[in-house]
Order: sequence, then C-alpha cells, then structure tokens
Amino acid sequence: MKCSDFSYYISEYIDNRLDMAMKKKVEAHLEICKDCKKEYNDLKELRALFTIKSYERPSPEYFENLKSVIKRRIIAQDVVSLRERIIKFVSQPSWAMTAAMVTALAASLSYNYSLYVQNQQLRSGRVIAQTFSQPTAQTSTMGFAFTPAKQSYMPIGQNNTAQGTLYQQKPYLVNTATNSAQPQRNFILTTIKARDVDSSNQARIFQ
Amino acid sequence: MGLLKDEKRVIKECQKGNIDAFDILVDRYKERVYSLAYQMIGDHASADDVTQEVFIRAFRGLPKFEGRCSFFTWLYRITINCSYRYLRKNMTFLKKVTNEIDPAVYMDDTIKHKITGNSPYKSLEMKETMDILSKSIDNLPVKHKTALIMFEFQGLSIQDISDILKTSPGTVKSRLHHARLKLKNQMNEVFNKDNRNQLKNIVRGR
Ligand SMILES: [Zn+2]
Repeated sequence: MKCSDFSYYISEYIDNRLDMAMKKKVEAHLEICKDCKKEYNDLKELRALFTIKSYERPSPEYFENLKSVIKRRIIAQDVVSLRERIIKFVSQPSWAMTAAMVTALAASLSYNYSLYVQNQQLRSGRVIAQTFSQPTAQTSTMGFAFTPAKQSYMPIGQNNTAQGTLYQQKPYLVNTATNSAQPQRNFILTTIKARDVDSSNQARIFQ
Repeated sequence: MGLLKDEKRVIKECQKGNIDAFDILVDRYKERVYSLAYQMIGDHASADDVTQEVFIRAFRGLPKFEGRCSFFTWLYRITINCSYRYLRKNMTFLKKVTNEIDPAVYMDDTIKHKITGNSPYKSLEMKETMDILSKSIDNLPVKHKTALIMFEFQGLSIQDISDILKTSPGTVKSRLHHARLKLKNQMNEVFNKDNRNQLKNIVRGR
C-alpha cells in the first residue's frame, strides 16, 4: 500500500473504526513512515481543537427563553393567518355578491313570498329591480336593500327629487320597480353592480 | 426506551396541534439544534434565527411526520436544510470570521490541556486559533463541512449522519476524511507562516 492509500485509513484509525488486521497494518506503517506519522499527529491535534470549539455555546438564559419565543411566534402566525383568511374571504367582491344573492334567495324562499317579479327593462340597462308583494317585512341583507316601493324609487345617494327627468340625466342610477295598484305593499330588491356605482355607494353596499 | 415511547406520545399530541406538548420537544432538542445551526453558519444571531425557524417548521410539518425515521433524524434534516437555505440566502454578507463566543469561558483546565505542548496550532491565543479554525471550516465544501460538523461537534455516529443526509455510511466517512485533510492543510498553511501579525491580519481582514 502506498502512503496515499493509507491516508483514508489513518482517519478511520483515529476514529477507531478499523478491524484488527487493518489496524495493525496502519500502526506498522506509522512506525516507519514519517510523513504519515505527521499527518496522523496533525489530525489528532486538530481533533483537540474541535473539542475546544465545541464548547462555544450561548448563555443559559438564551435557551431558557427560546421555548416561549418559539411558542409566541407560532401563535402569532396562527392569528395573522386566521385574520388574513377572514379578510381575504370577506373582502372578495365576487364572494360578497354571491353570498348576498344566496342570502337573499334563502330569505325570499323562507318568507315564502308570493312573489311576482317585474323585470323591467330599464332604460340604463344596468340595474335590475325586483318587486315582492310581501306586505309587512322590511329587512335588509348584505349588498341589498329592501325598501318600500314608491311610485318613483329614489336610489341611494340621489337627492334629485325631480321625477321623470332623473334617469336620463343619470343613466347609471337605479330605476324603479313599482306595482302601481298596491304601492304601499311592495318591496323593492335592488341589486347594484359595483362597476356602475361611484365609490362612495360601492363602499356602502359592500361594507 | 421509556423516553422514546413517551416521545411518540408527545409527537402525537403535537400532531393534533397541541402547542404545549411541543414545549417538551423544544426543550429536549433546542441545544442540539442550535449548536448544529451555529456550527454551520457561524454567528449567534443567525443561529438563533435558524433555530427558531427549524422548530416552527417542525411544528407545522409534524402532521406529515410518519415516523419512518426517528424524530431526531427528521429534526436534524430540517436543521441542515434551513442552514443551507440561510447560507445560500446570506452568502454575500456572511463573511464575518471572528467568533462572538469565546470557548475558553466555558472550558475547564482538562480541556485546555488537550492542546499538547508540541501542537502546531499553539502559537496563538486560543481565541485567535478558534477564529482561524472557524474560517477554515467555512472554506470547506459544504458537504464536507456538514459531515465534519455533525461528527466532530455534534458527536453523531456515522450511521446517524448517513440517515440524516440520506446517503451511505461510506460516503459520510469519505467526506469526513476529506474535510479533515483539507482543514489540516489550510491550518498548516496559516500556522507555518509563523508570523503573529500576519495571522492577525488574516483573522481580522477580509
Ligand atoms: Zn506513509
């Protein structure tokens, strides 16, 4: 065996991983070879340095606090992710719209409205108004307003009382749905598409 | 054996999300995880970062831990992966060379005397010697460095290391040997110059 072949076994010899036969071979070589003996000595001195280096450690207080630091961080992550999930869920306009529709649908079914719908073809073509003939209940759900119908419905955010001309001037606004025979007994369900409404109304609708 | 059985129960609790049970695991392994991260990265603040990350990841990952290896093997694997990621991410500014912790503070005389009178590494103060050693270890190829640290500083067996690194014991032994040879050559190069000022420049400069 050459010196270069012994090199690996010197490492194994230091760690005491050799069988008896190989151990003897290495020991015999170390007796006669100065270079390998030097390598062996250096590696052993290096190990002594490792032992010293392994004593580098932080203060005991560091380890005492670690447990609670980790726990706090895990809990904080949970709180943040829960909050983010809720905010993300609720703030999705499409979700809010869908949920509001589902809620409105459920409400209308449970109230067992004898409903007739007048899907008026609105002049603006953007807003749907529906009427229900439920006499007393006045309620509201997210994104919707159940409002007693008047002869001429005044949409949210609109101050103009001049009827008739209103919708030509403000084509994006809600049109009315009326049942002129029984005006007091009708409720209007208005849905307003977000893109058709200015931002202040939008905020009110989706808050 | 009782401890291991108990550990299985603790792990089951953690898998259900019981964060108080996790305290037991943190307490049991915090020093070993920290020490491995510290030896891999080389400074306390980073090792602290990585240690916290390791345990948080472990807690999050525990539901997927199936017990095919021991918890400790699994945890060490996370520690190594987190350390690698940290080293890659911070390669550019992690060029510091001096140790913040002076090992001499924690040593008793029997350990100090491990350095023999004719040690080639004795010409400097202990702290400076340790700084040069740290820098030399940092210069090793990362796989060699990992094997060396796990064996020499963590006291892990060859079998444990090969389990953690998912490689063969032969590969671990070979990496360990090469790490030692490279380290020895680097150290000899520095110390054979036998010039304190030059050594100090090496320690402080770069
Ligand atoms: Zn030889």
